[in-house]
Amino acid sequence: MIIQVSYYSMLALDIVIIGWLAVLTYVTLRKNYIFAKKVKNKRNLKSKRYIIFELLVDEKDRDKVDQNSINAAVKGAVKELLGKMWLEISDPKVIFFDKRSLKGIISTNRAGYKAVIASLPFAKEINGAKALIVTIRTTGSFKRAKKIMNM
Amino acid sequence: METCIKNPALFPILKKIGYSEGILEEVNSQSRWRRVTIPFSDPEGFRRRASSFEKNVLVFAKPLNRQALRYALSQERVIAITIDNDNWMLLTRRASLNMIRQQGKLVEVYMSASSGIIFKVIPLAYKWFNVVFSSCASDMTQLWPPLSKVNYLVIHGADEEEAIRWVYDNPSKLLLYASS
Repeated sequence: MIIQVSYYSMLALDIVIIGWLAVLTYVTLRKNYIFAKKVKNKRNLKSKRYIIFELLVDEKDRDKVDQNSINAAVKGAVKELLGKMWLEISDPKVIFFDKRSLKGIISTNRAGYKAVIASLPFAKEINGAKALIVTIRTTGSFKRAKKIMNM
Repeated sequence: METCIKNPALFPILKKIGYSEGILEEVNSQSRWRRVTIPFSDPEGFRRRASSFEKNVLVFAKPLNRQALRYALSQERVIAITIDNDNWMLLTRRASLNMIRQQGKLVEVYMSASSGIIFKVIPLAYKWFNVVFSSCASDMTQLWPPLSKVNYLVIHGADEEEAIRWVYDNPSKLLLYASS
C-alpha cells in the first residue's frame, strides 16, 4: 500500500512538472525569449546593386573605349583581385555606358558589390587605353541609377 | 586627402576622384604640401638628409631595420613611418609596436604593398597605431579613389567604420600632427 501511494504521488509529481515545463516552453516561445538567429536576409544577398561609375581616360583614347571593353576590363579586375569564385558571385556587368559623359552603370548584387568597387582600380587598361574607373555612387534600383546619371 | 602622389599632373585628377588635396612627393615643387620619404638603415645618414630639407617639407621615414626604426621614432621631424614590402617585418615585434604607440607616430602603408601585408597591418592598426593608406601614384592608373580604398580594406577584414576613419580622417590627423 505504501509503495502504491508513493508510485501515484511520483506519477502526479511528474505530470505537474511536465505541465509546468510545457507552460514555460509555451511562454518562452510565444514571447520570443529565445533569440534564435533567423536567416532573413538570404534573399537580399541576391538583390541587385547598381554602381554608377565615371571613366577617366586620356582625351585621345576616348574612342577606344566602349561598353564591351569596359565590361571585359571590370571582369578581369575582379578576377585579378579575388579570383574566379568572386567573379561568379558578384557577376558584374556594364549595363549602360554613355560615351559623351564617360559615365556608366555596373550591375552586381549585394553579396559582391564591395568586391567590385574594390577591384575597379585594377582595371588599368581598356582596349589599350590607360584608364581609371571611379565609383560615384551605389544604388539599389536601376531607375534611381538613371536618375543620378541625369538620364 | 591623398597622402602621397609622385606627379604634380595628378592634382586635377585627385579632385575628380574624390580627394580635396594631395601631398606631393617632390621637395622642390611649389605645391602647398610637400613630402619626402627617406629609406635608411643608418641613422647618421638619415640625420644629414633630413636636416637638409626645409621646415615645411613633411619627412616620412622608411626604416629598414630595428635600430633605424628606433631612431626614426625618436625624431620629432618624422611625421610617419612608411611600411611596404621591404620593411613590414619591423611590425612583427611587440617592442616595436609599443614604441610606435608611445611616440604617437602614424604608420603609412602603400596601397601597392601586397595583400598579405595589408591583411597583417589591419588588426595592428586597431590597437597599436593610427594608419594611413597611400597610393603613391606616378600615373593616373595607379591612383586609388577613396571609395575603392575603403572597400579594398573592408574585403581585407577591416570594419567599415574603421576603414572610413583610416581613409578620410587620418590624413587630416597627419597634417594636424605636422603643423603642431
